[in-house]
Amino acid sequence: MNTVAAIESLVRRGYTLASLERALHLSPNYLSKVRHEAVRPSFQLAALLVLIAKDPQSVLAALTTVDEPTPRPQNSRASSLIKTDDQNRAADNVVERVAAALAPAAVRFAFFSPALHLDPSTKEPIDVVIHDADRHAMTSLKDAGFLCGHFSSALFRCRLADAPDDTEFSLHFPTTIPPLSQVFETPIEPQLINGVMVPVVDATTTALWLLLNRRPDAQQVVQHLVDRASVDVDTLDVRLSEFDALPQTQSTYVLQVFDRALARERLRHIKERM
Amino acid sequence: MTPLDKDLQKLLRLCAKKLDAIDAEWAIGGATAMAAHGYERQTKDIDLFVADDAREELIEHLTSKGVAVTHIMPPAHYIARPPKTKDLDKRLDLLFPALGVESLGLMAARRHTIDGHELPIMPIEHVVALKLQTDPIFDRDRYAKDAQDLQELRARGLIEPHRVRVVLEDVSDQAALDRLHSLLSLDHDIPTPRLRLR
Repeated sequence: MNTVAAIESLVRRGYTLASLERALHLSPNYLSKVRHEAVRPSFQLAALLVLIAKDPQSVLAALTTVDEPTPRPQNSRASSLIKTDDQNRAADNVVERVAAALAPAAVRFAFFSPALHLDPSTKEPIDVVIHDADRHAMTSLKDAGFLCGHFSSALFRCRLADAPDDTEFSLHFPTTIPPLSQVFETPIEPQLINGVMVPVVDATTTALWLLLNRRPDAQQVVQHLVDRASVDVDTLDVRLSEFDALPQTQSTYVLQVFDRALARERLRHIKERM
Repeated sequence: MTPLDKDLQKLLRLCAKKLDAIDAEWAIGGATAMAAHGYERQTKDIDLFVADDAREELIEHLTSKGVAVTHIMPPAHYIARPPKTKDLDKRLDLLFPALGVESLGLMAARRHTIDGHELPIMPIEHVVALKLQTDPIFDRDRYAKDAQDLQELRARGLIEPHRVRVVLEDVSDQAALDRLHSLLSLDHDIPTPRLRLR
């Protein structure tokens, strides 16, 4: 039995995801993301879910007798799933602190994550897209207490200095690769995230980005956005067609995030399911 | 070659031990490979190319040892950092190619001694071919950086055109072959003692 099948089995038997999350000390909505394959659980959590699905009453009862774990070291993978209150507060804090660092510095930015369009109260790390001409954003973020690592001129990874590894998020400086390179061409709507009104990359652009990149869960997440009517397949189709005019590439790096043939194939599958 | 950072060495050895134990195909690429071949430039990260079939086992192994593994672009790119590091540039980039020059480079890797350890290094012709594949239209900043590396490699006589050409022909990348031709046509004054033009 795989993790998704275990969750589905429990839901069919009347267990809510919220009650399971409480029993497993998981962040709210984490199991929803596991169910929709937006995140990949650890082996330990997957194994526990399979055991619960086999005998929910006994295993859930046994879980209530488990003592609160001693806080794990911050580099432990398991700590990314079983978040402490401090970690949840840290996740809330990141959006607020990023916005507080960038807005006064006149940086053009927007928060970006598929999870935001599925669950605005997500505790998953949320990426940030910054206008390529606003590189002073890096200084503002460092001054605000963020550590930043360089991957390429278009990608940095950041986290608060005192926060665990699993709160790390990406900073994108899109220049030439659509659709993120087009984010600032039109006004960006603000959205409420963790109690703060901040600019957020729209669902259609986010879905396009997913279709075009080689993340294995991309198609399922877009399917979910379509099912929730957050995006429209015809609009996706039109937006994808606009990219046909761009030259072909064999660059491995580019194709990881801009594979038009793959996007077309994925969109075809999504249309077939409608 | 300048010794690798001690924390990264430790992390690299952890990966190497596991990958060798499961007989995985793997190789060090990027700036560390260029340094092993004779062109050193400053870098803090190490690129580890690993055959995709060893991905899950390696990540699970690192995780079980308390190493945080973060995904950058799954399933192709993850990172592992030494525990408690505050320097986010200090990391192992774990790259899992499915096809292309990176995969060919894995299969052709040869062992070199680095800091007293025999480690598989991607052949220089594959490192060069990868840099030539960078797309100047879609990826102009990386292209500028890679073009600089290519000029330095060429100046040191580390580019053997026929070997690079074979790699690029294997993946049928005509645009990269054209860029190789341009690279070799430029700056005839640069000393290229080992350069063998066909």
